[in-house]
Amino acid sequence: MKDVILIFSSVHHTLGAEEQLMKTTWHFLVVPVPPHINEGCGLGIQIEENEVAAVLQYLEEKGFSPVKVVNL
Amino acid sequence: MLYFDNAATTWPKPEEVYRAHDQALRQGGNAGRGVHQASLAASRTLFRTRDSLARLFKIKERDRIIFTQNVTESLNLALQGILNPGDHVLVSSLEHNAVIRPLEYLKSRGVSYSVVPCSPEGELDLQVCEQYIKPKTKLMCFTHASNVLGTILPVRELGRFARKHELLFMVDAAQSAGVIPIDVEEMNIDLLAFTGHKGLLGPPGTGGLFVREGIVLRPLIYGGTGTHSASLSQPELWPEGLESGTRNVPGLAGLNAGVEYILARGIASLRRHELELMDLLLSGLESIPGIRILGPREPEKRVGLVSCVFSCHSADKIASLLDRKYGIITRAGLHCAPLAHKTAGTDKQGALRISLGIYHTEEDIKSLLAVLEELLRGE
Repeated sequence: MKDVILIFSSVHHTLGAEEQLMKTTWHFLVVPVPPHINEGCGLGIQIEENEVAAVLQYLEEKGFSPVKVVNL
Repeated sequence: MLYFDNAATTWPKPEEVYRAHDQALRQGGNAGRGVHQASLAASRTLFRTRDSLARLFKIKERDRIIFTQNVTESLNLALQGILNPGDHVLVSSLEHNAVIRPLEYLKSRGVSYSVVPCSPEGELDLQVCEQYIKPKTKLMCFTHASNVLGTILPVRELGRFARKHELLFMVDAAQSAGVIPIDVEEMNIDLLAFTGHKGLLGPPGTGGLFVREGIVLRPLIYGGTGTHSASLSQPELWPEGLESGTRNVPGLAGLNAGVEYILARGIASLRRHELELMDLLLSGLESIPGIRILGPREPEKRVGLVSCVFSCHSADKIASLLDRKYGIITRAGLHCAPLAHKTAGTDKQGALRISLGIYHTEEDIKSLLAVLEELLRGE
């Protein structure tokens, strides 16, 4: 199973997204963003690739859309 | 010790505040610096504190709350961050030096300001306010409650007035945050500057500034934000782009506990207690000959502080006697607000300020009044 990292504009927004995801049953992890990705706040949320679409839709509804989705 | 200097800093704090501060200090971790558990825990502390403050002040955009060391830094960040050469600002004659000194500095950068006079009791007439508006007026910056007279300014009406004239509206909530309900939406507040260690019951070294979405703010301090580290330029993101340098995580954990305490007890309930004590204090002071009370007589027109002057003694002497002989803590002087003292006609001698806290009882007020009576009747 491949994973992806959702990258947000700030630590605050990353934790805002984390707060929303904690209300769900999706498995996720707050992780460091690899240094070669010069975007976002250094933190990201790792999720399973096959759940990206559903997670993105959910986060958009909650006002926490990521600025980028990176495949690992 | 009987502590009546809560307008300077509230004491004691709720037990929850001491515990949260201690726990965060022992836990370690620097917010936004790394992704290890300690750093994440610190970042979550800041997140929770923004959340509780947003609930208290009815702020929709939590990321528009910037953490500072105190309200003075918040006011400086706002005034230096939004004003440009040619801009004009309206303030009241009750403002603290935390507003006036940055504006005096900004005069050298081409910013001007006008002081709208209040009555000797600190009341503000909006019609008078209107006379001071100029074509270049950009901002109205008003205290919510005077730290000298205790007078509460009509913030709701001022907010409407600012909207009508298309001016930005900033409120200095140093003496009102946690004491009087504040709703930034209903009150049309564009910028709210507050401190953490007074009515919000948090530790010193904490404060913040709310800035409404759409307002462009230059940082006051540039440097490491823990984000976009490869960039040599300051990141333009909220809130971290305006929070360079390490935040006071233990202090903010304590502040969160203070705000949660207020939300749980209910601001209306805390205010009722304060008004009861204030009524007792004002009545008692009025009955002692030789005391002149500053500000309005009605408790509901003030926050929980009373300043007074004495016919036979200086305020300094009374404060010193109260402290050394009776262990009663008050504050004498100009309280960093010479304009407010000038408004009340006490700029030459200063005044003695008695300020209440959430743990005071009727017995505390009666003890203070008995000592004051003894001191003044002895003359």
